[in-house]
Amino acid sequence: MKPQTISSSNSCRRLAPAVTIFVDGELEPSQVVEVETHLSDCGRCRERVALDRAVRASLRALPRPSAPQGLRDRVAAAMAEGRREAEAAEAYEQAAPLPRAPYKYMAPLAMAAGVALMLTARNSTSPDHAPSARGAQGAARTAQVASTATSLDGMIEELLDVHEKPLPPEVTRQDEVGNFGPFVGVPVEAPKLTNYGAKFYGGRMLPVREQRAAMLQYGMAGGRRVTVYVYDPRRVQPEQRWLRERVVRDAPVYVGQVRGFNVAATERRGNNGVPVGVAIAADLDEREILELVTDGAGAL
Amino acid sequence: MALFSFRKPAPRAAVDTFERDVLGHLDAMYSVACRLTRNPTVAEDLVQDAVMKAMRARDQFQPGTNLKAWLLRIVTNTFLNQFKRSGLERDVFEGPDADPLADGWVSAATMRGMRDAESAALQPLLRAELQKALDALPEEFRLAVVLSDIEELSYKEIADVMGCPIGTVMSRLHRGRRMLKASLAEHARSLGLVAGEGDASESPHPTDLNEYRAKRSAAAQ
Repeated sequence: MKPQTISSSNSCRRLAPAVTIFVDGELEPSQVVEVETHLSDCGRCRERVALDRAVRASLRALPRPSAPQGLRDRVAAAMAEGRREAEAAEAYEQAAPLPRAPYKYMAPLAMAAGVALMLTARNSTSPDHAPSARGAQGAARTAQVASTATSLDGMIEELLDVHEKPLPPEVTRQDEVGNFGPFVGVPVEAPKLTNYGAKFYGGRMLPVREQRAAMLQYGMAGGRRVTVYVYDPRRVQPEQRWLRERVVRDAPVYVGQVRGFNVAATERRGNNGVPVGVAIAADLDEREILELVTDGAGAL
Repeated sequence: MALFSFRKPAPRAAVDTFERDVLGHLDAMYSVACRLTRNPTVAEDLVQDAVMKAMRARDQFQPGTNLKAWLLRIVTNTFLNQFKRSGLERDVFEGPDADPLADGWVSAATMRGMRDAESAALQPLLRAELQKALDALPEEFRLAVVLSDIEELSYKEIADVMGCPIGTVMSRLHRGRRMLKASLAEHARSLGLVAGEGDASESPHPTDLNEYRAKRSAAAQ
């Protein structure tokens, strides 16, 4: 009998790594011949291969945990949230925002504009009642009314200006908009409009003549945007021409189309009974915006 | 028409195929995460983190390449980052393989006894021990074995997942499986499935030499 154990032990040792690769089916064809030749001579390495295959078969047969439904749901929800975020950002990237103007320069600018527009308005003989495509004219009309307080019309003009050409946000976190409250004079909260597919994008303070309002920006699929104005209604004259009153759940809501956008305004009670004005301009149809302002205001 | 299309651009596809494909690999991600962390709760967090990273980095994925391997790489990296694994463990195990045949002391009979002739798999009693033996492997080896033998990735894909050269994959697989077999052989002996023989500290040569001498004396008679 041929004593092959010791000599084969050396080739076993040399070929051991190749045998593993052979079992995985990734060995170079040139080496396969060598390994196969060795295997035909060496019962021990044949056993090694058989055991490797048995271990592999048993590993493959181990119960493979599948992702729990809870994890699946959470991941899907987080994906949807991420998608809304991306869509919201996209809506504003597409909107070609106005060049960034730091807030502290905005107030004097707005005041200067106000003076200029008042002059224009005085010279104007026949006020134009049709909704204008240019915010400046609208603001001029409003200036006639708003000598002591801003009118709702004026607010809406401003709202549409910043809706059409969004200003860059000062804050991008929904929970930071509460800081605007002291400046606006009423508590400011960003409504959650996730149910409407709208995702918070950012917010900033905005001077509206004698007062300040908080402007909250939302974006949604299809590059559509929703701009929410939160203001102190006690400092706004309710008179307005473009919106018609509708009563939804005992609360008056003003809706209408201005400059091609759907606009809605309503009032709600803040935590401490303070009335909070909310106006919304959105790339949505009237039914959607009505739902949003009534339901969304509830979520405010 | 085109002039006014800016107001309402076409909405995105209702079904995001990338998201759908990622969700399709969630089981694989979770399974690997379980084997890496050995804790289902930690594994869930790991998978969620990894999915979010994948979504943020989705532009870096090259369509046409293996998404599963790409995702498993993110799972692995997230795991390694989270658990603050330094290069230390890698260094310890990355040295040259001193003895590629350290299982030489296991006899052919023992190896045969560990298998189940009918199923071409391990003996049922050893199958019950396999999970424990796998969990006991150092993670670099465990991951290599899981990716190859359970997730059925190629060496190239495993190299991508583990971020190491293919040669390192081969060496980790070889040594991982060897450790696995050694611990299974030990179980087999303690369960009485195979006859006790030698012990792990013994070098293969005495066994082989005795065998050789026995055979030689048998031949001489």
